[in-house]
Amino acid sequence: MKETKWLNRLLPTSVLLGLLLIWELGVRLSGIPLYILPAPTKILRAFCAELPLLLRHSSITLSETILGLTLAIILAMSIAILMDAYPPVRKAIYPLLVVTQTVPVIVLAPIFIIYLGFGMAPKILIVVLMCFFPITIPFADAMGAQDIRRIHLLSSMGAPKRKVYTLVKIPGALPAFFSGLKVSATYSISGAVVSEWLSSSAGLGYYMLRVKNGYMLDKVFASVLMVVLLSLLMNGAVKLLSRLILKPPAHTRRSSS
Amino acid sequence: MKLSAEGICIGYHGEPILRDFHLQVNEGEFVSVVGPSGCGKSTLLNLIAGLLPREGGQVLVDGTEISGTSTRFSLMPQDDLLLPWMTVLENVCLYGKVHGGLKSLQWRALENLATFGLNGYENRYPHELSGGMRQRAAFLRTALCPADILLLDEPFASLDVITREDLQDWLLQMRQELGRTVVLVTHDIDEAIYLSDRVLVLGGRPAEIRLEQTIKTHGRNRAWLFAQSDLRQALYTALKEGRDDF
Repeated sequence: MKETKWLNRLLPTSVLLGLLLIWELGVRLSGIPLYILPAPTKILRAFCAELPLLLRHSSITLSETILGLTLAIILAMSIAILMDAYPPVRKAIYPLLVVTQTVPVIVLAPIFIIYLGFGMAPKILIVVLMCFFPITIPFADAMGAQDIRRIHLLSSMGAPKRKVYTLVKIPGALPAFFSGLKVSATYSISGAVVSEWLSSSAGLGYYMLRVKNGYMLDKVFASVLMVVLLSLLMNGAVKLLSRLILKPPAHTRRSSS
Repeated sequence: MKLSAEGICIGYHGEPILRDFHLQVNEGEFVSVVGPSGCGKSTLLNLIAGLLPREGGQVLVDGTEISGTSTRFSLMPQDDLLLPWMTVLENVCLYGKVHGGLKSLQWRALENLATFGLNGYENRYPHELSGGMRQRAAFLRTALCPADILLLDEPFASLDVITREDLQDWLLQMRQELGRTVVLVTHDIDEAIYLSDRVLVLGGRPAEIRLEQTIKTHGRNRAWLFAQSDLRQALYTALKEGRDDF
């Protein structure tokens, strides 16, 4: 059992290292210039050299992301609970939510910039719009799918609607909420970076665009590496949060015998 | 507390299930309602508990009419319905989480855990419990509600024979300690004879009481139950006729 687990980690790691090695050797042996494709070691060196600057820009991107994601969570939970509690609200909003998902949010960025300026606000709004849908729908659906007998049990105790939500519907729908949040957390960083491309004076997207315009490809790749790391960080944070909040872990949550 | 249901009417998809149905349960009495599957016995219980809207009639507790759900009743459903995200202690104290007074209820729960065979399991989660333990936890949750009348809806139906007999023995002991009015819905004739002061057999459509049997004895045990062949036969015949008239 332990051996397979170890092997499961070793295999993808060695494939990745193999690919990086081929890349490194290919660039070195064929003499491809830096402005076309930098070698992995060059990227790593650029990453280390630029780390203070990268971290400064990352802190801005991360603030936009975390603020946007937090707002998305609040918005998603409120809309999901409203839709679940009042069926007419669901009927009115659900189709609109689905339709808005056919609009690629990023094309709205220029409009947001017109109204909200060049600061953090339009980026946060983009993150909110990108992230709230993947949380809202699974969370609302999971609340609606809670065992009606559990709700009846609470009703038979004379529980008000509020208690049905806090004791049964919300805790029961939390695993779905977290799987939605995992998807959103992955989107969130890219949402912030792409909206920084369009207009900004700071942030990873801004940095990326600047080094790209200077043909400093090693730094472009270094910033890509940073984006990947931040996305992993967001994903890990959500995993940690779900482990802290979901008691007992999701896989043990069977329905009653 | 005395429970009475008078002139109860309810239907399902236009078909009457209960029509002008009467039921009377005296204070401290243990009444079992036996009937074939689908005859409306669970419907009757859910209707008393206020979970189903009745089309006519009244539910009275000590002469006062009850409409909708009421804290006078404590319902134990067929499945334990323990909430998987709560520990055993949190589950059995669900009433306190709904209405407040959680601390004192937790003290009472902890005092009672041993009686319910759950000692040391207070901080475990439901998935760590056996079927019998889950059912006992559900029963403790029901008993900890300050209700005067317990409504038990086939509480042991999903258990294996041995566990079921254990829990029946245990419920028989608990009857004295609880000292509450109980309505038990079951399809098990032996369970009804073993536990109750009075057995009602429901049958036909709309359902009506086909047989009413009072059981008076002081020494209930398995040997006594085994010897009740006449009573069992009478209940069985009424049950079968009731099913044939569906």
